[in-house]
Amino acid sequence: MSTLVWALDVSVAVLLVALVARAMLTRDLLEAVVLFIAVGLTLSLAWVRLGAPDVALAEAALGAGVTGALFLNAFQRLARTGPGASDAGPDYVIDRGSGSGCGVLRVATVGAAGVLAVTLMTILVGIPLRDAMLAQEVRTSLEQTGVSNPVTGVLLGFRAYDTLFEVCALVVAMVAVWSLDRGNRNFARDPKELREDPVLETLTRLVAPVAGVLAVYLVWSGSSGPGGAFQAAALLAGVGVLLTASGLMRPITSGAPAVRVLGTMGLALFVCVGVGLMPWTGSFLAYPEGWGYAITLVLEGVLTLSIAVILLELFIDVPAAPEVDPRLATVDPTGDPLGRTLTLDGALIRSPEEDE
Amino acid sequence: MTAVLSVLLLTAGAFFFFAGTVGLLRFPDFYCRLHALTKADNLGMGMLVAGLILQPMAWATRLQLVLTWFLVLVAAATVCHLLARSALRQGLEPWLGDSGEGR
Repeated sequence: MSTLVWALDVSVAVLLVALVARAMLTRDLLEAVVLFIAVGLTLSLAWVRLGAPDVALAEAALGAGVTGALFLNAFQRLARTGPGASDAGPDYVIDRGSGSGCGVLRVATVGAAGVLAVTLMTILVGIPLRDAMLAQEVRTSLEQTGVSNPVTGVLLGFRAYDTLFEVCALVVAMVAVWSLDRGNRNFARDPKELREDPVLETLTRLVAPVAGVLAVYLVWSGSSGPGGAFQAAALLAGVGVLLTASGLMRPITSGAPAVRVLGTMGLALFVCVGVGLMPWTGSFLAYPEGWGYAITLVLEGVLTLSIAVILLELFIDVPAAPEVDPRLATVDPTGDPLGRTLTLDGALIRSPEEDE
Repeated sequence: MTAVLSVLLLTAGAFFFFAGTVGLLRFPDFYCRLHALTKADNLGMGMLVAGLILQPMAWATRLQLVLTWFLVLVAAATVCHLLARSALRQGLEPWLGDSGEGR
């Protein structure tokens, strides 16, 4: 039996390396994205085998699920608007072999990655055993945090700093998307057109309530077992995508006040708790004795909502309707604003005057 | 007795997953591959779950397994439908056999 388990572990490890290598080396961008998702799922299997179900959940939900979906989104847009995309369609292939300086760049990148890998390995090997026993230390002082799941204890108790900055990074990402993204056109279509699919709608109606309950369960059980805000948020964001895709919910827009409030309230509460309790505890992000459990649970709950909205926003964001210049209202938005017809290299072949 | 049945079901489930993977790799066109993948995975997953719930475990875990199977079933069927419809709308011709048209 143990030989079988050993064989399973080895095959997971080998598969992981093979998938990563293939994802890095392939010239086909879509293949790279699909392989990235496969890497995420295999990695979460590896985490399960290493006895870290929390990390496995996060890897499957966020690493493979959300990030994979975002990559697919980006791929779709590249295939539509990227270099050489006009007629390639779904067979869009990135060319990694051309361009001057590409070889130098590649050598430099590989060299830097190699140095980083060797350095990290040296550090890893050099870590004294005392630090590797941190788990023991966490276990002995876990009681102070008020929760019984060591992972949650570390994330929202001992190392609440890290989590605070993670949420900061997410909020910054959302703001960056607001200023860069022109919206996911899949969802900017007429909701009536989206609504015509009864199969997707049935699936959504079936799955959404189950996933909602599961998200609450994940937050709740995060204090004593595998689960937590990020995993639950990924689930909720998935439900949001389903609801939007099936036309049951309007696409969320960056202009909506509710989105802004929901997206930032997790960070706001986190900071308020951190600073607001300082008169009693004396230090930033310290919880008064006996309140650890309640504070952690409330924080996790609010963070879940915030992160879910942010993830959904990253995926769907439909910009608030821009102020349309009335002079341009009648012009075909895909063409030249003056109504001329241009060839691909910009030569003018027909101007509106010639029509008359 | 249940142990034997469980092992039989698990083996059958593994076989269906294997068949689905072979179909995914060998079938001639997108629609056939979708068929192989979803049909085999649904059946394979169902057999795996049926085999697993015969093993000694808490009833809550059994219910969770059945729920998982149900969700995978619904999701796979829907995704298959969406992919096939999207491919049809983009004008991907189905393979109609060596004597048929298309391809």
